[in-house]
Amino acid sequence: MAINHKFRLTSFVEGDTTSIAISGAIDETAEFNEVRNDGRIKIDLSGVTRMNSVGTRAWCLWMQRFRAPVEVILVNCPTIMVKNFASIKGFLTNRCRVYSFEVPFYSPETGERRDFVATWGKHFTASSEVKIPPILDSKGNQMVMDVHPDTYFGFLRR
Amino acid sequence: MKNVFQLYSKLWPESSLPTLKPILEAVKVARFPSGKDDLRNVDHPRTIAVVKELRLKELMRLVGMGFEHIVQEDREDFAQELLTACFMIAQPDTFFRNPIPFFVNGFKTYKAIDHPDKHLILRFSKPSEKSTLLDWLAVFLDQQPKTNALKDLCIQVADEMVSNVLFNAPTSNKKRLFKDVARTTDLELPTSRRGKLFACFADHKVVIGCVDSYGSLVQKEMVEYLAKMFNETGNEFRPTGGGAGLGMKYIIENSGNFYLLVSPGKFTLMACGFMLRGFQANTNQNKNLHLCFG
Repeated sequence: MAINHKFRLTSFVEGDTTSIAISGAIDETAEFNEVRNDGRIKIDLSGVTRMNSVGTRAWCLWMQRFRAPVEVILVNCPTIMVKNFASIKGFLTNRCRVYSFEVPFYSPETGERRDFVATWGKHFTASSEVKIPPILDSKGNQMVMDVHPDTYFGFLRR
Repeated sequence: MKNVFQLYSKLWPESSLPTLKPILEAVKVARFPSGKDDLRNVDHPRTIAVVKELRLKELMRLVGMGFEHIVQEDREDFAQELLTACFMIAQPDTFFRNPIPFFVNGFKTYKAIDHPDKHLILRFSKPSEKSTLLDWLAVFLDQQPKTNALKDLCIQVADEMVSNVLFNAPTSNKKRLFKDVARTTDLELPTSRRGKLFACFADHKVVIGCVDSYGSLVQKEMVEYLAKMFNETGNEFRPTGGGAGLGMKYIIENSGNFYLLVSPGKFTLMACGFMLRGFQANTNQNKNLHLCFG
């Protein structure tokens, strides 16, 4: 199936919250527009299909534009972004809070992958480890978490 | 210091040893972190570093010492990667003349590419072709359901490699073509400089690679770059210039095996091997590295 490469950013304002949805590829074509720099910025990343190094830079530079007292809430962060949260300076700034993010699971029996969305207050909090219920593959086998927790969840200890 | 045949000949079937013996005997082994081997007067380009449970930071230290092939003894593909390294060291001319069939055929023998459904070779010359290339690659990967767990890693790596080919990166050579050209520029390489993206399924893994016609990567510079990249606890992006300075990090971190062959002034081949066993099997730290600079 063809990948959605077209970067798209849509936003709307409701009260003091600006809701943004990003889809497609965060790459050299990504253009992060000026966004109201106050209140709460909620960014839904569930539509992001891929991200490359130039897109990472564009993302980091965009994040740097948000200054206190703005609060940036990231929702449905895909694995391809989460894996770099802790290892690239500026990917998450001190204005960012991760509300929900994908955790990949793998079935050694069937080779399937499933992405579980871990949500703040339900599967993790600032002080606790991530707790995810058993995930089953299509044959009923228990799947294994397919990341190293110390590294992947490292951003929660920031 | 012992050679590969003396230490590891039992890894291969007895029937293949008469053919393999001259290749295996031509290559020495230095084991880490055992400390059993005398490392004085090591001929680094003809010696494979066989390691156990060393992390990327430590692997880069070995690269800095001059080792070009680092193979993980604990991994299931040890025999195959050891043989790969031996081929690259003992038969460099054959390898450099036409390296892609080695990957396509899983380093078994040098033979014609005869399984069209198991390999993909695409030529490209413009950044605007990248989306189509990645779509073709995604379709190719979809043939094997096991790639579903690592497809995003593969696509990210291919994306970075295609950009490196188009923009002749990463090298700090001030005179290089397209230095600091914005990655949004829709340049077009001349026909003689067209890049190649290839992918193939071989022995429980998928290999994805790119070939450029510059051959401009320099060993010293590359080693320093990689050491810096993997020594730091947090990597910083480059705020200006063409690339963001993170492409190689993505390429190496995402893949289980990394191959770099540079034939100076002629071509660069960069390829990554992905084990068909999910995300973590590739992103963990115990990687096989092959970096040859001709």
